[in-house]
Formats: sequence, C-alpha cells, structure tokens
Amino acid sequence: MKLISLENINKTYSGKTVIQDISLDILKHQSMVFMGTNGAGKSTLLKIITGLLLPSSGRVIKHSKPLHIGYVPERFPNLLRFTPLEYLNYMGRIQGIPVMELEKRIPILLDRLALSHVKNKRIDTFSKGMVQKIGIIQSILRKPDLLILDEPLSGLDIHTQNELVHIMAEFKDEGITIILTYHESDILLKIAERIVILGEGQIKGDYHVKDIDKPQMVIETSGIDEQIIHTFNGILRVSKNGETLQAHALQEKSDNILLEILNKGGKIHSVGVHDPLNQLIMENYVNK
Amino acid sequence: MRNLVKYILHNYFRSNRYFPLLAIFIMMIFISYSYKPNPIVDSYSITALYLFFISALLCVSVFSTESSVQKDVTLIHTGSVPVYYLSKLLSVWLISFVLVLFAFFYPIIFGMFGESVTLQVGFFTFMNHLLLASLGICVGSFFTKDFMKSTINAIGGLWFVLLLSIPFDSLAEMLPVLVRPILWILPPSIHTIKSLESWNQTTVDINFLLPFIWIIVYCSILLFLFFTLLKKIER
Repeated sequence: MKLISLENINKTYSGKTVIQDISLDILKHQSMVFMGTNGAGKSTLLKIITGLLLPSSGRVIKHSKPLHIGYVPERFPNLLRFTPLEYLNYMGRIQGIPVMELEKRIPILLDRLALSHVKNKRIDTFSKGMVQKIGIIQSILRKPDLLILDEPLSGLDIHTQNELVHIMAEFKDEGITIILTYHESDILLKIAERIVILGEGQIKGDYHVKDIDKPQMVIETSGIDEQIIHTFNGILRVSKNGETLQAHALQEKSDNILLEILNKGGKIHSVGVHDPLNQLIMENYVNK
Repeated sequence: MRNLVKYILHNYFRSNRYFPLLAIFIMMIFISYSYKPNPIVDSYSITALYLFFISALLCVSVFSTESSVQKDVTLIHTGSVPVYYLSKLLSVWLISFVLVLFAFFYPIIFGMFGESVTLQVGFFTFMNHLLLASLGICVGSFFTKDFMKSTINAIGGLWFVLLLSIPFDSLAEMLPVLVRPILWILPPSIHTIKSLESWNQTTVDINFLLPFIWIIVYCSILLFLFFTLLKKIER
C-alpha cells in the first residue's frame, strides 16, 4: 500500500539541477535507504518528501491524510541550550500534543534511549551520540507514519551506531515506515528492505534487499578434492581457478569449513569476503 | 502558536544574544534622562526613535538565533511556514513591548519630567513608541537571514535604511520635485515625531493623526510583502 508517491520530481537551485525526474513510490511499513555519494541529491530528496523543500516541478502525493512525518536532520544541532526535558516538551507542545500525554511519553522515550540520567542536563554538554538520540526522540514524540532520518549514524562510534540501528529496527517492527540515508551496507542490511541508489540527482538503482545475496566467504584452497568440499555444511558453490579451488561459503559456517579443509589435508591460500550488496553499490557509484 | 512563541523567547533568552542590545537601550534611556527636568514630548520622541532602531536590530537577532537545522525541525512540528514566521515576529514584538513599557514608565516613575504627563499626551506618546517599535520590526524582518544570506550585508543594509529615514525633510529639499515621491518608500520613522512636536497637546485632528495612520498602513504593506516574498524564496 502506497504512503507517498513522487511523480517526476525535479529540483533546481539557482539554475543547477539537483534532482532530475525522480519518480518513486514509498510503501507503508517499508524501510528504505537512499544511498549515494555526496551531492547525489539524497538530502534534497528527503527534504522534498518532508515538505521542507518544494520541487521545481513534479508532484509529491500523500496517499493517507493526515500524514505525520518525523524528521531527524543530518547533524542535529548540539548547541541547544535546553535540557532534554525542556526541549522535548517544547517540540511536543508546538505539535499540539497535550501536556499530560507528553508528561507520560517523554520519560518513556528518554528511558528507552538511555537518556533518563541526563534529562536535566543541558544538551550542549552532550556527546554526538546523545544529541543524535535527542534528535530521534523529538521525531517520535507523536508516533509518526513516516520517519525520515538523514545520515543518522554519521560520525558516531560503532557502539552508538549499533545502538541506534537496534532502535530503528524496533521502530520498523512497530510498523513505522522508515526512510534513511547512509552509505555502509553491513549496517543497512539490519534495517533496510529496499535500497535506492542515487547519483547526479537521478535514481541509479532500486533494489529489494531480499533479492540480494548475503555476504559470502570466499576460500581459495588446493590439495583437496572438489567433491569433498561440496559435502561440507555451508558451502554454496565451488569453482576451479587453475590449480586452486574457489569455495563460496556462508559466513557463519566459514570457521568450521576452514578447519575441515585443513583436517582433510587441504591448503588454504586465501580467505576473503564477497559482498554482493557492496558490489552492487560500488558498480552504481563508479560505473554510472 | 503560544507554545511556539514561548519556545522562541526561551531559546532567545538562553542564547544571551539579547544582552548587548538591551544593555545599549537601557544605557541610552539612562543617558537621555541623566538630568532633569526634561520636556515630555521631546524626550519621548527621542526614546521612541531609539526603539525604532533597537526593535529592528532585535528582529534580526531573534530571527538568527535558531540554527538552520533546528529551524527545519521546528517548521515540521509547526506544520505551517506563515505561523512559524508570525510567531517569530510576535516574539520580537513582545520583547519590544517590554522595552516600550520601560521607556515610557521609567521617566514617570523616577520623576524625570518637570510636569505631569496628561492622559492625552501619555496616550499618543505611548502609541508613538509602540508604532515606531512595530515599524522597526517590520523593516528589520527584511534584513533577516531568511532574506539576506550575508550578515554583514544585512546589518549594513538595515542601518542604511534606518538612518536614511531620519533626514526625511533634508532629503526632500535636496531631491528634484519629480523624484521626491520616492521618499515615501522610506520608513516613516520621523513623521509622528514631527507631528507630536508641533502639537498643541489639546486638539486631535486628522492632520495630527495622519502620520500615525501612515505607520499602520506602512507596517501592513511591509507585513503583506514579507509573507508574499516568503512564498517566493527558493524553497
């Protein structure tokens, strides 16, 4: 079921085309990622969807009204001179959320994002990750139909990235449609169902994650029979490469497979990872 | 809109950006009344003119407090561009209103005048403060970062327009008759003051009221232009 449709969207700034003839359907409960290099038009497209920017031509059709959009901008301001309680109360009241409801919801959300202990400290003293969490909370004070996050993980350490990905996955499970921009496939795969690759303001690729193979281990080996390798649990395919064999295996089974090869007297020349999604992205970034 | 105004004011006061402007204004008032007794209408004319300048600068200052990223967030929560900007203008006006009260009541409370302020004089001088403050805000709104990307150009341009509006009569004398009507584009900052200074303080006729009405009309035109141009700004 469609939530928003973009029809032939174009956007020009002072004569420079930033978005070029983009048509796209955003489906309900689907989580999608816009990928692309800097200047590909990701942020502009997100802003057009939120209504912050108007397209120079084309239409944004909202299929369900009212449509509540939560928006987490790139680089959420860390110069806010409010405490989380003050700031979130203001953001909630501006939206017209009743005070009673906010008094219940804000502590729950602060607790969920592990910020309860700093609820009375000023945001301008927070770390980047904590500020980003405040940005996320303000976007879900009222449960949104569509949650838009512009580079939500950018500049954060791995621990905070994983923490936020976990939170976003929870939102996805709650049925919130999510659109985000990012550029690291391994993290994306935990949330994304659909990947739209943008380049030079156009759609270069539109893929469903389920149709893309998971990352595989590639083991280059010799001194072992091809038929024996096929019997190992987790082997996807084996091909001959001159004197050596190249075995593609499930990542989670690779440790056992390596041990089995060594036990059967085989030699291991190299071990690598083949990531079809990454390959796809690189092809789209580089070739088009 | 009430909550948005509260947020804008709270954010502005937390930023401490108000301090230089308010300090300058209060100092100017103190200096104006550094001796007594003072003539009522003349003194009030000067303080009203101060308010015209301070309100214009306050407008630029309040409008630039929120970062562009936070502005996007606030706009999404507000759900309406005109409501967002109207709330900002109202916030500036509320701050200016407090300054009007200060400028008006300070000399009365501390007995800075040689005579008591009659109701009629009090009413019109108070209205003059209020109207010139509103005029300053309306003029200042065109020099905010929404319209002018460069802060230096904005502040420079604002000072130019504000200062140019003061020597209205001298400019009128300098310019050829055919070109003179162009001066009506300038903010009518001095017209009410001239009207008040030549007033007999008893008769209120249409000639006396016209400059006050002109400020209201002028502000309305500026507000209309402000919201019309906002739509045209590249969004």
